[in-house]
Amino acid sequence: MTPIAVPRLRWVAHATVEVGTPIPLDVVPDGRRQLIPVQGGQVIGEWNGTVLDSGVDRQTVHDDGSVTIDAQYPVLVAGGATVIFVARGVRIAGDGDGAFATSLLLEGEAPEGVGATVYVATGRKSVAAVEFDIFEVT
Amino acid sequence: MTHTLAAPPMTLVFTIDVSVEAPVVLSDSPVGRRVFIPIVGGTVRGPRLGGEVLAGGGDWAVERANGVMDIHAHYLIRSDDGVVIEVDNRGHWREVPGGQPYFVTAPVFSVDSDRYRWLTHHVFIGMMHEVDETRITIDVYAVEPPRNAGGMDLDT
Repeated sequence: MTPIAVPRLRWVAHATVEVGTPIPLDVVPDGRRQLIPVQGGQVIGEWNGTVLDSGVDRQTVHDDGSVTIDAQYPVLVAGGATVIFVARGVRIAGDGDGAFATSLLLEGEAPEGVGATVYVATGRKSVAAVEFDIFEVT
Repeated sequence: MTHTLAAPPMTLVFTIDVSVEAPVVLSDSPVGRRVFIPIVGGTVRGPRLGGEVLAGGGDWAVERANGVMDIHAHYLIRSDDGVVIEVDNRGHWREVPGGQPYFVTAPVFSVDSDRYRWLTHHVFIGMMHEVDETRITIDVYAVEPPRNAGGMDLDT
């Protein structure tokens, strides 16, 4: 094994993201594709942000019921510029309360100490909103 | 209202040892340059996966003038039992004053195999290390998801 650091997760913020009605797309070899409009929300924690009404989660719903999450949406980070949240991960069938996990990258000119960092998000989905905690990988 | 959750645990599942060749410059400007770094082979070893890295992929990276490098590598792994796994690995390299560089990614795997379904049912973190100009090693950690009764399990 190589002398690589062991990753640690440090909580930095909680996010609430409002989502719209799914838009069905097509059937692909991996499953059924749909778009989830991202319509707003808030990030509150060590740094704050406002989710803008311009994003989308390109989901693939698989035969086993799991959902691949591939979301991109703009977030205006307080004291900084607008970045794109790039969230990729999975929600598993059988998790009745909609538990999911993604990685999270911030694309764009994020403020010092916020950008050029990999995050992990874990949370839950309800009908009209998604709530998650954001952890920095250190 | 802010809810603070305990961080999910992470488990080392395998290490990818990637062989690369010299970067090809795609564009160059005062704010940085885009390069393509060819991936020409490698190995995968660890408790959850063994295999080889197939030639033909690469890293479409952006080297920013502020010292940050954005990573976006795309390549294939073939497991020891013959299953091809697609790797899409994005993240960042940056210097840390007085310490080792921050070199962390979030690899996403795609595979059409029940045996390796766990690769598509988890989130992963890649802890990267540049051995030299021709070799990068990646310790891949699975993030244990929030669990409910009947949730996913790394051992199934």
